[in-house]
Amino acid sequence: METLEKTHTKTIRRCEFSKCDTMIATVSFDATTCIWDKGGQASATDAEWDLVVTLEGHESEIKDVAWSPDGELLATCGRDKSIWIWLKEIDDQFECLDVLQGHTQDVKSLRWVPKTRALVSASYDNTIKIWNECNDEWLCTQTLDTAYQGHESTVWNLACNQEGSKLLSCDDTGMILLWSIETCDSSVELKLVSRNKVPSDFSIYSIDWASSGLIAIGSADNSISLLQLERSEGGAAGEEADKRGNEILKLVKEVKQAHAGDVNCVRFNPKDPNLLASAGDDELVKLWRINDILS
Amino acid sequence: MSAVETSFSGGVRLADVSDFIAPSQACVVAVGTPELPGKDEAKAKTGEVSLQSRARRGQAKANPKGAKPGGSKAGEDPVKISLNDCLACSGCVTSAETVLLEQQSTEEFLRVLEAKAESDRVVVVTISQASRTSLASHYGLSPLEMTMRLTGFLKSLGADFVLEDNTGRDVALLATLEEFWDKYTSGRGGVGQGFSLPLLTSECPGWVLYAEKTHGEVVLPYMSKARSAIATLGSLTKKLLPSKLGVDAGSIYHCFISPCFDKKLEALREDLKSGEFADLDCVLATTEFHNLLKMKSFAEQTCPALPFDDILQGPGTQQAQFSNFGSSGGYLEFVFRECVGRLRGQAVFEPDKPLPLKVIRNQDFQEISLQGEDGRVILHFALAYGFRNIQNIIRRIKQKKMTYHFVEIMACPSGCLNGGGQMKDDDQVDEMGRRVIDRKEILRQLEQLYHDSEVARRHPRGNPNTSQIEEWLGGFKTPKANEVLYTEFHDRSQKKNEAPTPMMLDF
Repeated sequence: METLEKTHTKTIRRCEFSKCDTMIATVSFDATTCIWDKGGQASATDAEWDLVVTLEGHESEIKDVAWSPDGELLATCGRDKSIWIWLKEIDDQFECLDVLQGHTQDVKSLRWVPKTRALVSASYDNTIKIWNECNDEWLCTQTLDTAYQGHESTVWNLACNQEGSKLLSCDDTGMILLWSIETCDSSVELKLVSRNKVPSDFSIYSIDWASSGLIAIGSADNSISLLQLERSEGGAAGEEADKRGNEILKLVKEVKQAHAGDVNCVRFNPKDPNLLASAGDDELVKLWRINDILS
Repeated sequence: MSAVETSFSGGVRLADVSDFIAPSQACVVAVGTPELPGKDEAKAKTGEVSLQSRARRGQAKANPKGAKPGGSKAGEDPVKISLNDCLACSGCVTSAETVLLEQQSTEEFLRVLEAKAESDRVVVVTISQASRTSLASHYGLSPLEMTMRLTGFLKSLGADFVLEDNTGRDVALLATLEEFWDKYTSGRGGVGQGFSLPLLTSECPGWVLYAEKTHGEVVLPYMSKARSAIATLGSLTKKLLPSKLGVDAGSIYHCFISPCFDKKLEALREDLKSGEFADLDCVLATTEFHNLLKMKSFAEQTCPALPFDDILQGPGTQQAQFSNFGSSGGYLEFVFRECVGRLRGQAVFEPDKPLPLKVIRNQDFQEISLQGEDGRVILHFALAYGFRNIQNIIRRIKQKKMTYHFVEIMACPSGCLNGGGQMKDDDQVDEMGRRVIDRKEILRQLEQLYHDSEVARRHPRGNPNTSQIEEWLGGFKTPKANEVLYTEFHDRSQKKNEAPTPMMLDF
């Protein structure tokens, strides 16, 4: 175990391993992003992590970070309402490719759509935006607000399934929306599949989708819940609905008082979907075995 | 935010974080204890600065995130902050400046024109090249006909002078060239730390504000002190024109039709004044001016087309338009060509064609260089437009990897023709919210119209005013020239103004 310290000067909000596991990006309320590299010996367990570069540019707190599926790009977003896209160059240097300004409030979360270079962002302005790469820039091609049956409160977090065919978004009133990811003229679009209210009215701060298909959420009522998709019985019928699948979310198991405070983050182990990590306001990180929760 | 505020360029908007609390974390006024509404962001009202907690939508807890148990209610009481506090500060900027911005409106402009009968005000209106291009495209007129009809229209409203911004531009280009050449040929003429280069152009007010508020001393020493084109013309209008007209500076009212809302903030700068009077009294964006045209039933086909005016040649003397290469001031085009001429003793690049710039990563980041006889690069110039490219310029300066001698910087992608205040003739969207007309195509057309066949290319020295002005100043290096043509920048970054106990955010 190694502590990466003495770099960020304020709260670290999020971190993410690069696709090849050799780098970590950490984003902080100090408005910087740090890129850490796992020294020379990539396989050694006692490898040392070195700070490679600090990316500046955001005006204020950074809220989320995501590596693109091809590992080339890094996206960050934050309270300054902007999304920054960085290109990783050969010599571990990063060049700013684009700064996306479309949200009218704090951008809470962002995810790359698997197998594409399209980006989805979620904000305190209650909207979800889709950004597609077009020539040398990213353009907002879709804004999902209430006019599109979107969220009516802060959208806190996003999660895609492994295939990149579906996306979940969760909000401040405990609403989870299921979207189908469709490609139209090589441009990614989201279409609403179902609006789900499980299990309570509390804010849902974090959502993650395991390769096994299981979904975890972390909530303001200190709980962690496990959910799964299920075909709706009396859902919308018709050709459109059939094509997208009229699926809804079903509660599998709720762990009450998983933390002694808000659950801010839940993430499955990408290689072992039986392992779940959670972080809470009780200043604890907990590791859970899904089998144990379910039994 | 008001419509005006949302129209500011990326750099200005980015520095204005209004989602959470209006006073920045480093606010100079001690805004109570750090009892901030944690995950609940309080929305700030425009104009009045206050802290307020937002009712929790989710009805989650009696104790919202971030509020300490038993904490005081200090955070819920409104905190009043005066305008002076805000203008002296770094962070939250615009809500206070809004007050001053209200003086730059079409209503105020019309009020001044209507009050002319009872005052001895001389009203000068300057139309930027980018604005006239945007309007010409909108009305389907040539740039020349557009300006002449607007002249007829503005004169009918009572304007005394209708100018184009050429003289300001030409003098600003010469002032920039002299500044660059001085730095380049001085002992510290290298690039990077300990040296005086690169020279970063300061024509764009969005970029200037961003540099001052976000990067301070890292970047400011490299900023070109030459005033922007309109700040130069504003200066001449308040310092030179009064003596020609036999009036004092205070009786001249100067309104500028600008492609960009950020110019309103530039007009507020303390550094751009003639005595107690602002060099620019009012900046109207192209779209605001267009609203005025609609309100006053401007008829583009029937409104009389009049010759326009010139600050030195006098009223009604102008019936031809001039421009330079580059549609955002042409700083790189001009300074590079002149320096090549001085170093080589002859022009190397074709004078009738734009410079062969090389696209680096995208259309908004281009460069050009000149090699010396030994093959070494002796001039390395770039243009960097848009926020993303500005970012890479700043990174290179910070990482001491800067190689450019000169960078022409604009906050807007594609530069001034794409300014936030320009006509939005591409606004139509289809049922899916997609744009019907491609913005890039519109910009290509505007670029073409900017360099319309009726618009002659003219070297700044070809403008008869430039030599007269140089003579009046006694050259570009005199104290008078310094006062009229150059300006200063100020570190307004948070680092500099760091509050002794910065508020810690809790979520």
